[in-house]
Amino acid sequence: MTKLSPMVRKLKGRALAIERTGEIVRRDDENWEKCIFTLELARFSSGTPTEQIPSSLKGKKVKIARYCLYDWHYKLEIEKTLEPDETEAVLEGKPSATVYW
Amino acid sequence: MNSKERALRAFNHEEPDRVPLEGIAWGEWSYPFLEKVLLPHFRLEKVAGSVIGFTEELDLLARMLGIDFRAVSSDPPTDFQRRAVSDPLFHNPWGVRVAPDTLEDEWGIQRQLNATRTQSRIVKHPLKGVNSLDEYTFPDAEAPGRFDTSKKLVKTWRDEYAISAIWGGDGFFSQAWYLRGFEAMILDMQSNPSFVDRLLDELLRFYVSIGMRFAEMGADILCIADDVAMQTGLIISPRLWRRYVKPRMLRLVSAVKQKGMYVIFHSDGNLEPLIPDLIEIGIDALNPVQPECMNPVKIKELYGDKLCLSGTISMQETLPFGTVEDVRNEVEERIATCGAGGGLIISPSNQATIDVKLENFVAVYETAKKFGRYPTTQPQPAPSQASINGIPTRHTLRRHEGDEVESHG
Repeated sequence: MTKLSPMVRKLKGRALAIERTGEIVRRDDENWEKCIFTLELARFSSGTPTEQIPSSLKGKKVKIARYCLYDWHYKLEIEKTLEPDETEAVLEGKPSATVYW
Repeated sequence: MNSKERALRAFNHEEPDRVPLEGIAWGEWSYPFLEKVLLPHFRLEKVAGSVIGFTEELDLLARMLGIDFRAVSSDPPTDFQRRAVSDPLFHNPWGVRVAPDTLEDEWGIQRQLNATRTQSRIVKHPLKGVNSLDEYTFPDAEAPGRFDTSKKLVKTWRDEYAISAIWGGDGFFSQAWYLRGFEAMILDMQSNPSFVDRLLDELLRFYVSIGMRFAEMGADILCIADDVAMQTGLIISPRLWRRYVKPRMLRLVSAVKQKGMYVIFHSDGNLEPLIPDLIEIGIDALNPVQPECMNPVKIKELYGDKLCLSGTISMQETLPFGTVEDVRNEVEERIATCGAGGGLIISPSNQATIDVKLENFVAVYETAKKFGRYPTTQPQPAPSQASINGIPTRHTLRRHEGDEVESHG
């Protein structure tokens, strides 16, 4: 199989809250707003089916920074996925620019 | 993020950079739309009689539309291909010409084109009237030549695109009645279960063998296409489906998933009563979630955490009869209601017929590329403005002059 990085771990969490920072970045005539989502960590993505989230992290609340453009980007109560580097940062307990707690 | 990662993220219910886009099968009744509308618009010329050449044109078309998947299928063995022709107007394109506009495939199923040459119908079921399967020889999944083309294509595409593989025909229920005849198959399910069991076991053996070969060559997704529903509901009862089809689907799905493949299930119509069963046996994605008879929002709410939705854009109404604005509204609504969190793949919900408006078809892809962008760690660029009122300007992308094109058949 030639799966893309099958061992790459990605944590998922439910979006509980969103803070609209008002910080706008303009790109190609579009205004992207920086938002901080509060996630409650739940599990690893199904891309790593054998991985189990450490019990110490399950339910942990973390904040991730994302740029939003359309109304549907601001939805809550959906599962959002941390990028691999964000996942490793959480697993190592080292906050980064885009994920912290 | 390339197409492959984008597509597989959707299967994993992760948010990619944008909603992945799927193509549609280009055989049968979609072939006239492809040949007479799409390829000329994009200035792509079909290389007549050449499977590889034709695939190359489709690949260019898919690139222009932004399609993130590539499809491969198994073929009949080489010795059959030597006697046969490949005609895309037929449900199963490979067949020996046995009468005008009539092909017999390697299973012995004969199909004849209708008067308008837009669709084929079965005119001979090889197992009709037989009492036993002892005299029937099932095709050999391992016969030479079956994977020659698909292997090359997987090798070409596997790093860039998510590769969806299909064995070149239909799933358990459909293939069984193609062989036996619809009425006879339905009666057999009630009164001749041992016959049905043996027939489906033979199909299972064939499908597992094909699926394992696809897994070995590096395909990402096995597509099981088995129309089990009409728009008003299931063709057979859930009880019969669970008795005959489900256990064999489970074995097929389990076998390829152990090799790391994803599985997408296709059935037209309203098959909502079977969705929990499909999830239970490990199906990852459902296609096409026909919006005329199933509510994608409801399916997403009920099953969206376990099942990826693929398709969902009305091929019966919006694409042929709507305006570009209607198409944009439908695509935007679908993304807004079903896209958050991932697990959505956009495409027309069936093959495009000749009455589909070009600008509507293109608008599906243009809209999804723009409005389907997800929130990400950095603002995303707007998709290239290669369109005027939803119709892309003509591309000049062509095959390189002097490229050799292999010919089969």
